[in-house]
Amino acid sequence: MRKAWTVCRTAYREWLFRQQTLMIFPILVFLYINVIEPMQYYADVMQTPLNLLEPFLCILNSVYAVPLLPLSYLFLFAGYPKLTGASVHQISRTGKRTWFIGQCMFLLLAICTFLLCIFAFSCICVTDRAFLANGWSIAARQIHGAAYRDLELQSGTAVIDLSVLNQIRPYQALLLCAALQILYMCIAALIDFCFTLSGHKLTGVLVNLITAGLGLFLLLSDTPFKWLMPAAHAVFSGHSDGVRNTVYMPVRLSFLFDGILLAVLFAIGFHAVRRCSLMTVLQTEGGR
Amino acid sequence: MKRALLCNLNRSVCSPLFAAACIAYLILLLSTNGTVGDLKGSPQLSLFQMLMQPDNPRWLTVDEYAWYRIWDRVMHGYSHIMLLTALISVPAVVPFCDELTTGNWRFTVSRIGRRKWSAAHLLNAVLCALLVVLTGIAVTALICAAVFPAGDAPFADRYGTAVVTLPAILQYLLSNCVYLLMLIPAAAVCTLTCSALMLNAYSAICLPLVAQFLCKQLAWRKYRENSLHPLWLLLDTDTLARPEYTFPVMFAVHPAAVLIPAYVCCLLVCGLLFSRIAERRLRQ
Repeated sequence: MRKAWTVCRTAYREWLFRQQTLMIFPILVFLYINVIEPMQYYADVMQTPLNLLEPFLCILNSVYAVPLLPLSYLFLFAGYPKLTGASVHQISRTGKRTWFIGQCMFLLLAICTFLLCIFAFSCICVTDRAFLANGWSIAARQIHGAAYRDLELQSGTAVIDLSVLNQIRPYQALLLCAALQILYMCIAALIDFCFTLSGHKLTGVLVNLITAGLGLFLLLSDTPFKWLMPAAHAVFSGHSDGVRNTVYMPVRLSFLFDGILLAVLFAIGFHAVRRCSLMTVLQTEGGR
Repeated sequence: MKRALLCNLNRSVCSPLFAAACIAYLILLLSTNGTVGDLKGSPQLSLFQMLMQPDNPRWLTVDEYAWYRIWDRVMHGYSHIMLLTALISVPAVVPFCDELTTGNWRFTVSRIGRRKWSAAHLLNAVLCALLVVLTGIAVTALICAAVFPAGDAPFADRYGTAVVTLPAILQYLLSNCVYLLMLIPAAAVCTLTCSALMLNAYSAICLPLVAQFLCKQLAWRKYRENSLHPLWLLLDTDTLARPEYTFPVMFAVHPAAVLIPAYVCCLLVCGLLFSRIAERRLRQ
């Protein structure tokens, strides 16, 4: 386990300090323009503060942001796992199994860091006009009222769905939505991981793009087939009705779906890493 | 120089980064709020929402729909300048930085000269940026043309009643075209100069974006505190991008009197700076 942690730590440090990580800023600016700024605007119009967690929960429950987050993460994650001479040296010292577990730990750590960045950014942006409590703000509730119909339509994706507001409280919502999003991003990253280890990196990127695109299409068209895609399971607001107490898909089934998919991908990845020839990696490295 | 430019264009356009930039711009055009402005009681919904829910009673019907307004929105492009400038620079700036860091550029410079090399790269950045935007606009326009037929009242206003004259529409569309054609080359040239200074594409794209974002926040904070001097608004690039409003209202000057000299100066300074940086790097 200590060896796996060392592999994870090395990869994480390298990933964190590379310049491609700077691309997180355009992603944050995009989220600010489309979610945080409109939320601040309607809270200002209503002259009530927002809950500190609401912008982040809005991002995690937005139909548009949910498929975009794993794609952004995949861009930041591009090039990992690195199969270079250094990784061959690492594998020969730790063993393939430990190296794979270490890489999976790195993957989880990187996803948590990415979400933590978004969370911290969303909190900092509204911190001067927000409160922290386990209850929804008046602004988040009143935006659904008839008096603010125009404002709701103007705000577009920056509105927390009634199914979230009426079903759970902010702290519970934070845990559930973050867990669902982490699982979805793990699935996307493991798909990429498996294809990279099999030597088909571009196919992995294409599969991820198609999965996210199809997921978004089915989510927006609201057909029952959407539950076949991991994107639908990642959006908590789609699990139940906003007004009536109708549950379309229990959250525990979503966790089960994601868990099974992750287990299958983990097994495929494990098989791929066992079959991966170190000599080929070294030859490719030498060829460059 | 022609060959150098073609070589640069080939490297930038035939890369996955160009495709990624086009797709990202298309997603922004289709999914951002405010792309479509002619909806009953909802001025800020996106084209994507409209395509996904064609039977929504909030939309105007096809017959009522003033299609020229969609074209107008599409021509206007994605309205958040900060993200647009970052996005359009990616296909040209990343291969340029690769060329600089590997040292391959010294061979090209020794063959064609520093000035022609600089000009080829600057032109490449401008053409790539224009191609990204035009591809996005063309695809969106095709989608609009397929989904929203002309209807009976193509020149009707938002409620399908009044009729807008053709010259007014043409003038509006032309102003949007000029706006795009002026903004994009300037943004591409500035980012390329930044990348020549920093030697890293991601820093050159992200740091100006962060600076613009912080400036905008500062300007709006001042606006909310009611201590706004018109000069503060110049920090906000989105305000600057609406010269027809900013200059006559705030400074009582015709926009052309300020913008055209400023624009020419900006391009010249960037071009000269880029050439000087190339000269310095060559000596290193």
